[in-house]
Amino acid sequence: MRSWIRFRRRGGFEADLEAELRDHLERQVTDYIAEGMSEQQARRTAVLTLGGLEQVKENCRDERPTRFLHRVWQDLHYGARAVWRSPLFALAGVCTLGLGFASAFALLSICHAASSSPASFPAGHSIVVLVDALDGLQSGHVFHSVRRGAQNVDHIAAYGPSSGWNLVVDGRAEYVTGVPVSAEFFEVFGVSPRIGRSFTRADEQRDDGPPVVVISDDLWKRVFQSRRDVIGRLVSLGGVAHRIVGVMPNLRGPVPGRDLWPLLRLSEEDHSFNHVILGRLGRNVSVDTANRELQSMTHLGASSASNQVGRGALQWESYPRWLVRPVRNVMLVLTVAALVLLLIACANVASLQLLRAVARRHEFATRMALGASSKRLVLQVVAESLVLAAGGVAAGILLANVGVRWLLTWEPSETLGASSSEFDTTAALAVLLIGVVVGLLISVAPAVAACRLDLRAAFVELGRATVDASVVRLRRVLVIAQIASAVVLLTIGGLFARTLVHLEGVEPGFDATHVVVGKMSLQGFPAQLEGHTGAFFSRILTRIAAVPGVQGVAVSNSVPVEAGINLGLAPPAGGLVHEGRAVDWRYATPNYFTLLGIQLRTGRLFNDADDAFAAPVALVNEAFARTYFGGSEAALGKIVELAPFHRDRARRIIGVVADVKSRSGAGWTTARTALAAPATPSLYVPVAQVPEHIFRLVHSFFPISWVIKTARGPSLTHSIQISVAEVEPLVPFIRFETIGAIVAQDLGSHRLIAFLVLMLAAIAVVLASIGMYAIVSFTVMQRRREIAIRNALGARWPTVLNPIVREGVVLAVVGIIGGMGIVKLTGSIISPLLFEVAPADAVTFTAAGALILLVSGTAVLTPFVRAARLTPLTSLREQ
Amino acid sequence: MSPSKADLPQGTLDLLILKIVALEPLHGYGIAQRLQRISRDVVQVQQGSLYPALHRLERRGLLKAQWKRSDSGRESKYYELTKEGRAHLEVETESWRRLATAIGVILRTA
Repeated sequence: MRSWIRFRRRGGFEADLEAELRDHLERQVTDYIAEGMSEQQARRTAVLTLGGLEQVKENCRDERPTRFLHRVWQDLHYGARAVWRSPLFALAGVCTLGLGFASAFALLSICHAASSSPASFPAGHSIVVLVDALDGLQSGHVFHSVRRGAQNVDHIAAYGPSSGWNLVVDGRAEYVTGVPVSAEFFEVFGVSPRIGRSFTRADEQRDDGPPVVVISDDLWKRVFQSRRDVIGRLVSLGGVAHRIVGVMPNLRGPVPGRDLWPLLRLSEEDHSFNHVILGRLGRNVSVDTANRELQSMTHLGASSASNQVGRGALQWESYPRWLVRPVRNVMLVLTVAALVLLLIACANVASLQLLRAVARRHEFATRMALGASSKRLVLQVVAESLVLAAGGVAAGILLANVGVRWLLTWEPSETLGASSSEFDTTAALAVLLIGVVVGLLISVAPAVAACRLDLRAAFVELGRATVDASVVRLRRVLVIAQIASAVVLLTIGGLFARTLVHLEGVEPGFDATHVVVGKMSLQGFPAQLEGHTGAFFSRILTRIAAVPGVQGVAVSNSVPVEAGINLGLAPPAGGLVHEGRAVDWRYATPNYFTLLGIQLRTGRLFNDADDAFAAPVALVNEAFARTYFGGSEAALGKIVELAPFHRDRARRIIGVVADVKSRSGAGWTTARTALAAPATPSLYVPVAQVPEHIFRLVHSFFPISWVIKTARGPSLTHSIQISVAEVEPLVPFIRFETIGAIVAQDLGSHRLIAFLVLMLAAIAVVLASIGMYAIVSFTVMQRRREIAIRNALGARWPTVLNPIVREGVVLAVVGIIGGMGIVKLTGSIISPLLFEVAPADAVTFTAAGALILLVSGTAVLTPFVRAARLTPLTSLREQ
Repeated sequence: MSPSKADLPQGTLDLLILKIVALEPLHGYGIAQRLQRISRDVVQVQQGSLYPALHRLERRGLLKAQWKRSDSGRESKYYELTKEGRAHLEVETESWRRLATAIGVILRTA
């Protein structure tokens, strides 16, 4: 504070200093005159004896404590003025940096949104998730065993996949989405209800009364007008009366579920692996401690069911880390890409600054002659760069805000969670920090140049744009770095693009032309269908088939690309697998396979004779036949049965169908695309033979999928909806979608990543070619006199310009080789993101290299052509 | 400015200034004159380094400055010793004397 006050009173100090020295000189002059000097001579001698007025002042200023602050202010002021004085340079610099910052800022905020960590919740880092070899899905049996035995984990809760229901309040229906959660779910996240209460274990055990539900703050305001008497109120959710027990505050971020959370009552007897189990570590308990405890429980056989289906050992993993895991590599690549781009922009501006430093030698030399130390000059350059960087940050944030919004309209990606595109303070702070670093970075090269300024040489060479070799070398390194960075981005973008092409060309195992999938929620309802599922299905199938334009209709629990349900399968007799494993289980009507174009490999498909009273049958896919029996023919006629706890009958395999790409196996929690996944063993059962309890298990959270083949595409959905509502008013369709859309959604993240990286690569290429252009034109400018004279003397221009072109080519080639080396090094990071493309894909590398060569060739060509036209007259006129 | 004059050893300028100002409050020019007179023909004090030294001493709180009208009617900035300055001068004088004696002994015996 004191220093600031003194700083403000600097005018006083300056006047004081001036007066003091003036007084000294006057006294000296008086004395000299008394000694007999003329007044003029006396004044001259006095100043000389003192040692130069300005020099002394500068030295005195150096002794003042406020010096530093003042100097920084002065430098910044001067820097801003210097930048302002050359608007073209400022514009180029700010635009280049702005582009770099914009991409960095946009990607950082996307990544930050994607990883918005539960750490923002009270002690979010102590939230853990139960995983095994097949990732995060567990059964009710595991849930109850672990919850009973774990002492080191305070709260344990489970949640199921997100689902949708019709919520009917005051006769008005609204489609809402949410996640079924067990007791203590909210305690795991450390949040307490705004009003009412959350779920307790007593809720899970109670069998009387309606099921309970907790609603979100948003829904409370939107549908219930924030009325406090909402607690205890009965509402119809998916056709079943639910009692509202609590309202949660606004839970942004990693808490699953949006509008509401019905109570999940997981049965101890549930052996299907479809729920995520979360825990909150006790005070001072590490993940390792909790894991040791878990292992001892496994030893006691607590999760024998999990072992029985070959899922490996259970362990706790940090929930924040688990959440980010599927997109971690993507985010890493994107962040690095953005930083690389920023680096290129920096190199460009540094290069520009360097060029300017050369042009400003006169100014620097003059300042030095007037007593500025070289430290001072360096500080000035740094200050200028900071001013430039500040402009860049401002432009970047502006551009990024526009850019992210535009990106979201182009590709509203769920995978990257970019939905929260609002001003991201963390990202902004990060960018600000980077901005300062960048400011310093871009000032290094010109500062070095300023430091090395040789006063005499500068004045001698005045007006001639020559530079010492080190500066030229520095600029060359910068250009090489730019080209290398552009190559890195271009190659990685190319690899992603090729992955996308491969993925889109994958033989999916089905043909979904003109097929619409209608999703129907049975949440809360299957119990009422008990004993009537057959009638329920045939009623709706008949209604849909009767709609004009419908060519066929089938039903299943899931469609291709989506995962089926994971059920345990007992090791079949005479098979190659001798332990229980999870199998991708689906039911289907006979025409399901023909409607979706799923090929029969051997045996027969279901037919209408495979009803509840006929012998139990099953179809398997090729992966199943291969894994369990070594081949399709061998599988035919074999008997398979679900694990005993599923209480299904033994079934004879009557046919083998083609593999269909799906997200089976790890289930709904992974972000990995179905098309890139290897086929998993699948088991199909005729819909008429599905036991009621399995039907209930499947549809307690997964919707029913009606597969409808139409003549005209999805425009029939409205009439189908109306027609079905006439017979089943309480089971609404959630949505209709084409399988194409499901596939596209599945590919969404891949497309977005490829697009982002290619866009960054395009910007990088442009920036690098500008850098290349600048250095070549600078070389030409330096040598224009020589070139002009040689031109005039009749030298053929190839000989004149050879060295220039050679320089450009050498820089480009070195940059390309360096960039490719870097891409090879990053292979392990990007290879999980690739599909059927090697990280060292020759085609991509060649294409990227050729493109860069072409672009840098063009960048070289322009100054080249200009140089070829140089005549001594024009050259001399410019001197 | 003859080459026979020795440069002032590092740090001694401050000590000399303090010693001169200890006699009476004095302005910069006066200090310069007196320095020259006292150290005539022996050491060379550049006037240019005097003022930074004065500002340094003032900043360290060893000197304090005040604008006063002198006998000639000129308005001048007078420096005088503070309490800390006086203490500092004593300590420094003592240590300088010891050092000089020690060096003298070494030069005589070695």
